[in-house]
Amino acid sequence: MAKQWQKVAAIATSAVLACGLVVGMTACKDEEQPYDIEKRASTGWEDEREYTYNTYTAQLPAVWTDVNTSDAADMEIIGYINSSFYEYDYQYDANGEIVPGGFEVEYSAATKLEDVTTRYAGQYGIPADATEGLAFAITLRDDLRWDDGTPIHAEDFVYTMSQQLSPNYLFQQASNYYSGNYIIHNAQNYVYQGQSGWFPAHTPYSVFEESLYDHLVFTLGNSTENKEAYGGAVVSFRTGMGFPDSYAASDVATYITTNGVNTVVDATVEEVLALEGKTYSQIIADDVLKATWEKVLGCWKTVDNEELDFFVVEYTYPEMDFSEVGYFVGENENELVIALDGPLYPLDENGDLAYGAAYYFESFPLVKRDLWEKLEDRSATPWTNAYGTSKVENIASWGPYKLTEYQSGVTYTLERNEEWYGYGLDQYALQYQTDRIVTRYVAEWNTAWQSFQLGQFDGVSLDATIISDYRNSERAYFTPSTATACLYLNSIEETYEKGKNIMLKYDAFREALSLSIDREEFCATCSPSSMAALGYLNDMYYYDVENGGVYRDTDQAKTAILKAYGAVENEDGSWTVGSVTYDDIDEAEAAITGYNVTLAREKMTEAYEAAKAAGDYTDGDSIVLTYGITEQSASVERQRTFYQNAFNAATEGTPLEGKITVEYFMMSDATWDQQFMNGEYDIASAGWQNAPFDPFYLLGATQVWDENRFQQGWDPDTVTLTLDVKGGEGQESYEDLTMTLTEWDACLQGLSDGRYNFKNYPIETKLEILAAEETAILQTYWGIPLRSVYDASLMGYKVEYISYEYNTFMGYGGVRYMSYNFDDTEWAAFVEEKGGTLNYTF
Amino acid sequence: MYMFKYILKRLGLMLMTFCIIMLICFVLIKLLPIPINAGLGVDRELIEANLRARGYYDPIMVQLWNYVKRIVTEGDFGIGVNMPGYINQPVWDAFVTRLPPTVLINVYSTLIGVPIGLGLGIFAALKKNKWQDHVISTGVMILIAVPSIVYAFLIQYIFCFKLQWFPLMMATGTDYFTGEMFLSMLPAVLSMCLGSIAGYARYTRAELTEVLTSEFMLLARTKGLTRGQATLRHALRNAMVPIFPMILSEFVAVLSGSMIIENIFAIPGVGMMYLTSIQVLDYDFFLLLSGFYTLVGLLAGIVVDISYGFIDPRIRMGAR
Repeated sequence: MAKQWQKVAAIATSAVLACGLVVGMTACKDEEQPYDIEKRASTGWEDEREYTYNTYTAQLPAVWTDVNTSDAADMEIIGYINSSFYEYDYQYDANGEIVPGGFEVEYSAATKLEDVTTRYAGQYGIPADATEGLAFAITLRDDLRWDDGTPIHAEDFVYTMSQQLSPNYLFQQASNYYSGNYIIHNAQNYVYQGQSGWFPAHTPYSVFEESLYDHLVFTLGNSTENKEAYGGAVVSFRTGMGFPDSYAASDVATYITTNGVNTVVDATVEEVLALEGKTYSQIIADDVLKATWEKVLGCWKTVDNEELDFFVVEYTYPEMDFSEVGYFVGENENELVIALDGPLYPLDENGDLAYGAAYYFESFPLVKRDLWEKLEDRSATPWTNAYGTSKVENIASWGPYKLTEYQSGVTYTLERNEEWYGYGLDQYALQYQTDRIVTRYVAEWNTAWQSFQLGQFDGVSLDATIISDYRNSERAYFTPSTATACLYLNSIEETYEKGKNIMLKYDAFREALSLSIDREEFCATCSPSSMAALGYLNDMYYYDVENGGVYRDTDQAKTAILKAYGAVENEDGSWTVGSVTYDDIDEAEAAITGYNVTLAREKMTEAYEAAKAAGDYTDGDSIVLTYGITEQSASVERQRTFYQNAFNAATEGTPLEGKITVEYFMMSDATWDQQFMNGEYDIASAGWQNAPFDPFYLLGATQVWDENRFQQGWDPDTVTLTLDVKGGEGQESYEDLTMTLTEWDACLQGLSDGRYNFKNYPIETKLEILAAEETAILQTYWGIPLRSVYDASLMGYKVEYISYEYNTFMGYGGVRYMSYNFDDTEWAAFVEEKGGTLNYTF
Repeated sequence: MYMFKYILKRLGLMLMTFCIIMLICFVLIKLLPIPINAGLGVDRELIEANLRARGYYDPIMVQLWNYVKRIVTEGDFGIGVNMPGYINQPVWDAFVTRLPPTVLINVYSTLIGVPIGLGLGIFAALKKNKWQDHVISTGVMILIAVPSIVYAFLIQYIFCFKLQWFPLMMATGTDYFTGEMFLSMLPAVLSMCLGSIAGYARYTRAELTEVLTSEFMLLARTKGLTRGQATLRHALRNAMVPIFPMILSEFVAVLSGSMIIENIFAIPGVGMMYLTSIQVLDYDFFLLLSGFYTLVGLLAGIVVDISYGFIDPRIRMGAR
């Protein structure tokens, strides 16, 4: 009996201990009133009190020079230790108030930007008769200095670019200067110089012409097969298709003769492999080979010169001196000149800075030459350089802050760079109040959140688990991004299996999936800081930056959404959405949700009947859709459950009721996109972003171009659009012009392989084309837009942004405009006064 | 002499096993596709040219030869290609920078966990079926049943956030032997050793309970030894034969299992790097870390085996 009591006592003791833990966890929050905090304006960099901005990051910057930057996280440091030639600033009205959405472009590290095309006409690839847009002179301030006081001149930038483009380093960032927004003359040839050997024919050549016929060699081999004969070069067709290097030539031949690309190659594997190692001349001289070649080409070619994608060529990029590159010192030691292969217009008609000045020429890479050369390691291939990595001694600053502490995987500290030219300039008066920026590496959000509440960080992102408690806090703010998250569906028909995912091939089925998703509910459940999205381009895309023209606000874009989601345009210009007619297009668009369970069920039934008739579905079959994730978490489970419930609702009362199952597929972080493009899983949650000032580019590049399109099994050439094209002055107009999506995109972007060039057509015309393209792509239902991505954050009581209205160019003003309600000493006292833990619910 | 030969033999076998494991890792990882992160507007050919220059497209055996040669002649374990925060960085530098915190956390965890675990186990065994034993056993069951990640969150929330006895994160700096640094490591150490304490306590209790009821213990008592003397000199020593290897294997297990704890307490260790290297397919990081954990595991195996001889002189390794 006593022993039983002892057991009971032991269990009771344990229970008390456990309860103690639970009580500790759920300790009640004290009832508190909002804090009475006086918001102070910035006192600027001259304030002698100490102001430290404490923040955290989930990924520490590893490389602090833009010559060799590896990812976006690096910009956290680079942005502070570099300066801008030209930069965006807020636009103020007559009362000194910030103009919402407005911006100005100002000089900073440069004092002048001049179009010097005529000065260099006939040189650096600039046509002799060119008059503008191809060469620019940037005049640097004469007081630019490194943080140790060493002066900076144009020659330093030229030296840096010679390293940036050095063939000894092969820096990935070199391509920024020949395949990005602009092309510096000879930049690519300088990087590739001396590279001798076999290349994919499309690398050195862009035009498939007769002079090459004897030199082009057909091969489908991988790098190992081609090692001996072609130095391991593989053709662009392979890379374009994303074949892994383990695929041998026979595997590729099997693929194209079995699965095909645009079409299936009607030939045997042996016939295709007979082309291997033959020059183009040999192929066309032999009737059998020629016939096979035409079949192979037919499965791939959609635009001119794509013949080159099947060949390698032996080529030597000629040696080149950096003086041949369009990047050099101009007429004085502070003048930096850039010669381009394509025109840019960073100046307005008065010669003043336009938005493009800060967009294209914000800055160029700069390294401190003596330090760079000291850290250079020529023993490795390619060369390596520890500049801007590992230790604070390995970097120099010419920006408002300098790096004073860095501990790998732990923290870094930036402090004011007293040598910066900006301190003392009127344009920076009452700015840069922050003396020190201390950033701590914190991978676990919960740790950051608790630290923030203890006053150790001055800002924190809001996690979905707590956002409902804090979204109405006065300290909460929501930052829009250019990303639209979509649900992409597996389009690779060869991976479809009866009883699993074969229903995806039916348009009605995909449309039903799209209609089953209540985007508002999805955001509320899975991503509370996001907003429901119906189009691929969100509100952050400007078609006319100078005048604030946002694509999504245009009638064309609204029409795109209305048409894509089934609204009917009436003859009088009104729109009927469901059973309601709207005279106003804005109201009609607002009524569109993309969510219609009734219609979804109809579409499900339609898909069922079609699949059953085709033998793709037998009553009782399951439909298993695999959802790609990199790790299982509560967040992804919420999403999976949401999709599962939505699809269940869409099948309710239909022959497919209860048949759809959404299962996880574990994918790799590094290859998830390629895996999806290969059809390894069925549902990918993904999106594109950036290029906010070029919606025409982004839509085409991400939804039409082969190399980026997630929906690889869908061919944009199978979709045709018929549109009227109205030209401007001196431009031709076309009525009922019919082209494929690929062709429309090429024309809209003015690509060399486009049938027409509409790049400089009136903006209304371009918007019509863009909107029609968007509608057409949406109606394929391979990519279903779900949400515009917003980041939700809380701002600490210590600091204030100058404005909490997001500005595309300025964000919230950043550290430059940040002001402090407390200096460091006051802040410590404030936190202590509040008991060591701060409440941000009000 | 037997022991010496035995150790040499085991070291030789360890080296061979290590080489085989690493060879398998190397070949398998190189059979995977080479990940190329070319975003919009990036020259894929240039990235490939860079990787080609680094030998990524060479035949696997050539790559293996170059890899081994570089390690032996230059101590070069490669450059990070996809590892966030370490792209273009020498992987060895990253590894050695981040190794000390991982090792320290694990050593502290063992140093704290072993005496407490053994002590509780001994106490429970001596108080078998009394209320003290029940309390300890219940506590042990709870600790074993709950994953260490849960302790970590609880410890962080209660002791670091609510009570503010410890910092939420490990202190910055590389002076690892200061009081401030030790205090900042304690939450992580406690999170990791609670499970071990439970394991040691349970195992020790079970072993010791069995030994205490052995006939030789009765003999020891009848020879006039006190209960404490008999327990300490005879029972505990016998019980340690299976317990000591467990301590070593636990140390290895904790060393490889601390990645989540490292994340929670912002410890700049190598644990998370291993997982990330697999996720992002950073081959050089993966190989170095695989080598490290393989070596630790193999060495621990040898040490465990050798330790038997020291704990119980009746055991002679390698003797015929």
